[in-house]
Amino acid sequence: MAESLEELEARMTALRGAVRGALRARDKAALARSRSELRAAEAAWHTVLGVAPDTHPAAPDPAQAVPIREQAVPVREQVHRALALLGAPASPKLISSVHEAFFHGPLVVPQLAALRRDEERAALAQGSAGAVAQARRYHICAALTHDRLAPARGLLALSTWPLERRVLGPLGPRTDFLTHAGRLAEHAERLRVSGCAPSESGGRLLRRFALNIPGAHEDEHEEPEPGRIIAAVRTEAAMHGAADDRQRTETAARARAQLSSAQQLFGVATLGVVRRGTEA
Amino acid sequence: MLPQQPEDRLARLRGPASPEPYTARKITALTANPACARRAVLDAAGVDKALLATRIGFEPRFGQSPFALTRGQAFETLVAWGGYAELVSLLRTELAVPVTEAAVADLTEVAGNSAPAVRARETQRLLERIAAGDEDRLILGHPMLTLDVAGRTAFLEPDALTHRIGGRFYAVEIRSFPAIDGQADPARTAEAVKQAAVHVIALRQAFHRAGLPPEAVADEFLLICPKDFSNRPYGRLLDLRQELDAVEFQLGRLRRAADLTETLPADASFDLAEDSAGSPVRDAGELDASVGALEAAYSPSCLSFCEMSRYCRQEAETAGEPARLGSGVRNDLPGIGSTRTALGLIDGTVEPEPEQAEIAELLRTAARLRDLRGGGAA
Repeated sequence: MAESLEELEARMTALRGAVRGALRARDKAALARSRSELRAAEAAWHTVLGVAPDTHPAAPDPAQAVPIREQAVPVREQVHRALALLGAPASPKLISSVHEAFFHGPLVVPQLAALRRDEERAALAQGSAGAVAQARRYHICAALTHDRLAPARGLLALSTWPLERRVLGPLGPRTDFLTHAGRLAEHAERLRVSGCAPSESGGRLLRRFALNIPGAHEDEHEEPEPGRIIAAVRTEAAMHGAADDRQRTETAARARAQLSSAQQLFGVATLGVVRRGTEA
Repeated sequence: MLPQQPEDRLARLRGPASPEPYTARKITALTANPACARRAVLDAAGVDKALLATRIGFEPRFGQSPFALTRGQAFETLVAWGGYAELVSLLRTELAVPVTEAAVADLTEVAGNSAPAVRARETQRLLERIAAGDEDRLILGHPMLTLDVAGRTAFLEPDALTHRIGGRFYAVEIRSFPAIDGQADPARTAEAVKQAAVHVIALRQAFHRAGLPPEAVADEFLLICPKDFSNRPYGRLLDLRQELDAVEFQLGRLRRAADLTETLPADASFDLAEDSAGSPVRDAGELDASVGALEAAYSPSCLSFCEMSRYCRQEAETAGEPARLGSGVRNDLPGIGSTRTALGLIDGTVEPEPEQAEIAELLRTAARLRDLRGGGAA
């Protein structure tokens, strides 16, 4: 317990502010986290003061703290999980349904939509562009359009992915769709091998993918078969592969040459594009 | 190009308010009732018809149901899900598009900017590049097209375009009414066909501007609706030629909307502005007289799409117009402007004009038959 009374009090004030903010933003995860931290700080404050903290709601005892931490996974962490599974830029809605199908419950879609903006603000607030990538382990960032290098509408991506995976050419929506389908089918296959029955929503999601890939699914009423989906995805992906890869490599090279590291994550700001657009 | 004078007249009629935009819906409403000079002039002048109707005491009592709107959007989202995955597989299974074709362009916004003019420019640029063979797209989502209507630019947004069926461009309309066993509601299909015709005409104009052959735009369009009772999309190509002719004729006629204003008295106005005290510049009586000076062609079907319809119905009732009782009655009484004249012809108080002799004879026969059957509830 290295903190002094003053430091603890300052931290408690900050945490109370955070609790208020989380309440306002209706962010349950952040609220639970701030409150448990606040209780810990209060307990520490009592200890330093030499008063027994019994009169207060008890400091989180280690046994209880585990479930709280489990349900209080921050939204960005949840998005990260879903995106890491999907393997390509995805819409908030898809991220939410993947989280519902393979993790714990759906995510709040509007909250996800706001996440990218918050992440961009946080990244810019961290100062010099060079430090952006290092400041956090990862960012939830944007996919970039191939022509203007602007953020693609309504897509979230991970900053840890190479630029090639985050740019979106004409074939991009289709190849990303195939990547999603393949990755989810592989995950379902892993679950099956390990003896876990896939959830109902997981089966539904997989069927929706499978119905739209030639050869992946014949009978609408049967359970989709992961192995067959994976094979069908590979067949179609091979057809688009060459053209799509060329486009991605070329766009990524252009983005690296023209954009700052923050812009590589979040795209060219709209204002700049408008100026360029009117010149053209 | 329009002469400056009539365009000025239309703007003067509207007053200082900015003109209401032309939409595909307005253009198709005009084709539904081509004889209506009242709607033609009010739309050409860009008058806010709902407000005008309210001012003269006939507040319109309809609008699109929020449930229908939500349903429509939900179905469209479903078709566009996963990079238009559903639409792509529909094109593959129904229209034999090869699997190698999968390029998509989303024109809902241009780098975060969704202003119609910016999107229209981007659409035009992409169309030119595709037609020239520099780019490949199977699907263009939410393109923005422009159409000159009565000297003003209307922005039109088809749900999608596809150009990979026999190398021609097809408009795609996504509607949420179901096709059960391949049969969809005829009235709603007809409405979709009309809107598609407007979109195809706009697309052909875009081709014309780019110096490309307008024949590259197909005479058919792809209608997509939910299959049976499911949420899976179903699509069919529908012929547009008849509607294209009808809409083109209407658009040609619209350019003469300015001429229709010549019958209006010099002091006519549809100015809906309010002065600084918040009271209307023109009172209801003045507006009423101006609207009344325009000739309408009321029929009961107007009630389902026109904001002015209740005013026109009242007017038709007062004048005893046969059309008030439906187009069937109107067609049975050719050359007779009023139900009062018809009744007069039957009981002999009105002497038929020479050209009315035949219909007068028919009416009397019908009345005799009715009397024979007991007069009352025939």
